[in-house]
Amino acid sequence: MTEPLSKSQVLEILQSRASTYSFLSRVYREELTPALLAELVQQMAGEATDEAESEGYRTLREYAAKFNLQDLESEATDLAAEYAALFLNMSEHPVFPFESVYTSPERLLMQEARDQVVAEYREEGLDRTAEFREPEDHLAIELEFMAYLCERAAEAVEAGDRVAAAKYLEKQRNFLQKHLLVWLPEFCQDLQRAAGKGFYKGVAHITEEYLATEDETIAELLGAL
Amino acid sequence: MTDLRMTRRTFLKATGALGTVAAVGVGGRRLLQSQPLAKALAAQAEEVKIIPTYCHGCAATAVNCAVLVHVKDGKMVRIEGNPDAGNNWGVGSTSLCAKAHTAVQYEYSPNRILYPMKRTGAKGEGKFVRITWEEAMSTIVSKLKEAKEKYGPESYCHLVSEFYPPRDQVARRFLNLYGTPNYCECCLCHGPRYLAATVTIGFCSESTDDWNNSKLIVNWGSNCENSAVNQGQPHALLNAIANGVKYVDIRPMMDPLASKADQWIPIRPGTDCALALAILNVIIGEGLYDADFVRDWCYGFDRLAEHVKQYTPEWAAPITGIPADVIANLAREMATTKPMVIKTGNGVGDQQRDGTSAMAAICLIEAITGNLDVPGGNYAGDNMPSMIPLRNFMVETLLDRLPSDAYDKLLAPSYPRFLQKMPQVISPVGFHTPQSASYKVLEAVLTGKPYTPRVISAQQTSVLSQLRNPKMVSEALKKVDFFFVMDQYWSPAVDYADIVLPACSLYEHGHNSFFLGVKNRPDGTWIGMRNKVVEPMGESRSDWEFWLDLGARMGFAADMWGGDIERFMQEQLEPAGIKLEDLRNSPRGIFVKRTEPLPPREYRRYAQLFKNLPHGKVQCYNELIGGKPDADETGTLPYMPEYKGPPEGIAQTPDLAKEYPLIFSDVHAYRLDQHSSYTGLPYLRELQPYPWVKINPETAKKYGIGNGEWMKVESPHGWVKMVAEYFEGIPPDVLMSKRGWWQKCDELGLPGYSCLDGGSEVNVLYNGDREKFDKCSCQMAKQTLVRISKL
Amino acid sequence: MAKQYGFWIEIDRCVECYACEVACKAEHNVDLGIKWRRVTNVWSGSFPNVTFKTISLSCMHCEKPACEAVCPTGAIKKQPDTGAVTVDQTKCIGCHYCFFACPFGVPQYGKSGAMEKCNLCVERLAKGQEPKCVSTCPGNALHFGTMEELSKMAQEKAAKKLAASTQPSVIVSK
Repeated sequence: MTEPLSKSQVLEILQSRASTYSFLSRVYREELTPALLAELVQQMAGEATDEAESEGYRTLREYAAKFNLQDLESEATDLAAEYAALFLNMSEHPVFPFESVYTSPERLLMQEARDQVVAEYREEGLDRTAEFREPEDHLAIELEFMAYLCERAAEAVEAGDRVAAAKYLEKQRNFLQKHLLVWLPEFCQDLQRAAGKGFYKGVAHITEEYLATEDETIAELLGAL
Repeated sequence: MTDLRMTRRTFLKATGALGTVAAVGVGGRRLLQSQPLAKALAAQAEEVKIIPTYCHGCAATAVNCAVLVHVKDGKMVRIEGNPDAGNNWGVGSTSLCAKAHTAVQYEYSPNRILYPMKRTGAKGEGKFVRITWEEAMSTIVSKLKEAKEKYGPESYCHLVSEFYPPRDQVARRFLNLYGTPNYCECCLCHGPRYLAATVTIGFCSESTDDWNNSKLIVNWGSNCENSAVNQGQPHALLNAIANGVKYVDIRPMMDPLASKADQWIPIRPGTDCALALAILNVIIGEGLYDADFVRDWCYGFDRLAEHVKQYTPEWAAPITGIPADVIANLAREMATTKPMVIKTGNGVGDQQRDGTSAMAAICLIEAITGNLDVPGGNYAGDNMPSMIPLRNFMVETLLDRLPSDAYDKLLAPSYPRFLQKMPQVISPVGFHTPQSASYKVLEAVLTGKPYTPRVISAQQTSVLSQLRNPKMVSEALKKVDFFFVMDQYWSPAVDYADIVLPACSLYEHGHNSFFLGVKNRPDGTWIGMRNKVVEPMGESRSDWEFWLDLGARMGFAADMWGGDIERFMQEQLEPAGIKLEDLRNSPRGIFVKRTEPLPPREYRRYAQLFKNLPHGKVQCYNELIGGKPDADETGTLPYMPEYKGPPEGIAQTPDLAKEYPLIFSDVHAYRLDQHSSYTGLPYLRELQPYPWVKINPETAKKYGIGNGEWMKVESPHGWVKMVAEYFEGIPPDVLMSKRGWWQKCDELGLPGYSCLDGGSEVNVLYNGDREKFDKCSCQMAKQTLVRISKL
Repeated sequence: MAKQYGFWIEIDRCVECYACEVACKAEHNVDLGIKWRRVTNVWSGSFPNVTFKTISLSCMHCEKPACEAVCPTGAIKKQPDTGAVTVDQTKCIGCHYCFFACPFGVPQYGKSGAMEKCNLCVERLAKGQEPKCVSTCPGNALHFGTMEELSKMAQEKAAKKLAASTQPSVIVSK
């Protein structure tokens, strides 16, 4: 049995998780701006580690390696076109980033899953912002919610409030099991197929790989409280 | 355990690092925010609101059956007919057709385009990026300004389907202000037969109000159990039948109402003109006409009598596939059973090579038998004054603002130019002016004749699947300088767009054409508000808003209500003294009781009905259009109905028939969809999952094609793959199908089918040569010859 | 006092528009592939001496329901206040006995495996509304009421109660 995590380790993990969820949310939410894309590419093209790399990271590094930083506008436009083709219905085989589509019998928007996640958000006093006019079970929102819960948990840990921290972690586990893990594996498979190669395929893999680790991470965090 | 933790930690660290970058780039924008009312909203979640609005699933009219939509926590959950309005058979009716009930699936389909898009990459590559409405509108404005400057305003052509108020009211106004006459009609529905009737007998009535007085109703090429399920017609016919009316149905296929007819006459598709002329031949030849009416109200009867001598039942029989004695008896019956009314439809007057003549001949049958505007005859409609007078912007399209040479600049008049210049004759409501023919306009992109369109737009129309010759259309759209389209889905034409604009759904806007939402009844007039039921998704907007915005940006704000949709709607209500807010706050609508008793129904209003016709009489010999230039301006229009028959037909092209022995046609309207719309909705698609061809079982078996099996259907112009549907109620040499199969249905695992050769769009089969179009209305024949084989 | 509600379908007024089928599905969120109400054409003859009639039928809500009689778990019950025959899906084990017993082939089985069928829109009846199918029929071909009411209305039309030993609560007329 390994030693339980220290407070600073717990905070570090929570921080990392919050960043990860934020990153993924951002990627699914809308197209990457040229500036953001350039930064990401530069970071990914950085030193490759010796450690066994996930398929997601490998795919992203390959994308970064082929990326032409001199022609940023054009690369960004290409990626934006792919985003539109995948997530905005501008192709024959789009992928729908909505939980309802994956869990309702007729693959419609705004079904039971949406009602359920809205209830979860509202319990935390949260609602969708006015500018984003798509259903609340959009992947970007669900991921942002997880980031939010990580931040609340970190605050609680900082303040020494074990009960609150545990509450947020339990909420995360619940949300993961009742929602994210119910549909994302299939969604990620669809995205990998539709995205072919490149950036969004890498993201699909990372999403899948990351979520697969979450259950255990949360358990570990809870054990450390 | 340790290894896993290490891998996981590294993994987390890496993505965490990326996350920092992402966060920096984002500047803290979030999708979730603190909402003090969030908890209160949660409590309200169970409440169901009922919001009255309109469905327009069956027609492009945008205001149709009044409905009540149930909304729970901002989500549509159910729909039903609004009993206050007077839908279908009247007040109290809650009926709705199958399409209306798919409202929830329609609203929550994940396939919608929700954001403006612009093309990146080559045309036809299908590569688009999201842009803002601002960029989209600026681009469109600059392209329109450029086109006007370089090539003249007529170089901008707007493609429409048939009738749709956002276009007929505000788009027309915009086009007139901009200076282009090229409002482009599909020439496939209603307009052509409306024109034919108007120039022959001065009016085109679809009133069923007097059917209970009829002794004989002839349904000729009309498909109301498909096109107008809840609009009152099937119901009125059923009542008339129950009351003992004799009912004859002249249609190629036995649709449900035909199965209830006293006599079903399976006419060969595209030969209605021949039948109508033969009927005139018998009625006149045997002296069965109404001599008084002919003497007092018909011009040129003697010439018509001479003209139809050649069109005997024996001549018509091999053309129509109807035995000569059946034709003769039908003629006698139509002449001697009084009163008699003929209900016509798209099948007879809108998609035939000689559709104008067919419709004119049919009107003449009614005329010479004394059945125009008589009780139980072709009743010209009630003159029930509306208790809610409205301002009708369909009339006020600012036609006078078009440049004086605009009519001369019409690229491809969809009906004769000289007639277009006579709106008082053609009637400004229901048949508009000026107008070009969409198909010919698209051809002009490729030929450059008479000039090249430079900017084309399409709204509420799937031009690539629904016209003819999809290949030509795709080439034209690919070639044209600038093409923008407003739609809800990735329709086939979107492949070639430069800009795509997201249209919101029917339930996401409260923008209205009030005069169509008015239900005028004997006891008074009712008006209801079209209400927004749910918020528009993404950045979709209404078709109305688009035109007002565009008008304002092009400098026409003063004439386009300042770009303010509320002002536009309020002005419609002004004459009635109703405030928009009051209407919004009246969930049960506003009903104004009739203050004066209705006068008894008027009939035989001939002086009024025929006043715009030469000599003020029915044109048996048509001096209004006869001898005048046709729509193409390559020939002249006939003085009397003339038979042509379909471009390819058993009797018309017998040599071709040896190779292509079967007649092929399509139903146009179908009760489970609105042409190509709604074919992707699961509850409707599961009732017609595959592109079907209704085929007589004997014929199918001859070719070894089983029920439900894929078959190849090939005409001289192209070929398609369809699924055979055994159907006893169709002659062995006729096939009947449907257009519009490009939508996929993921829920059922069904694809959308290609619109090109080898796909399933029947429009590839028909003749696209303009020489074979109707010369008066440019309508394009939906009949051809095919050969079939098992696939 | 026990009432027996039922349907009266006027075949001559049915135009095969499928509004009743689709309305029912939308009302009850019925799975794809399952029909609680079915519109069927019955053909006779062959071209040119051919015709067809259309009939719309759901569950017969029989006075002596065979499904209720054979159900091993008591999931199927005839409601005393309306005569509706309803199924409690939480008790249904999907054994299909009801399917074999029903003379009309009414029971169907959804994704959950449990039996489902027309429930006479009992939730709507409780609010004083007619079944959805009846309220939406554009041709006024479908009627709803107690069997006595319907019999009276149908008298003129040479109507016949559907005949079967289970005594279905459906009248069919021209």
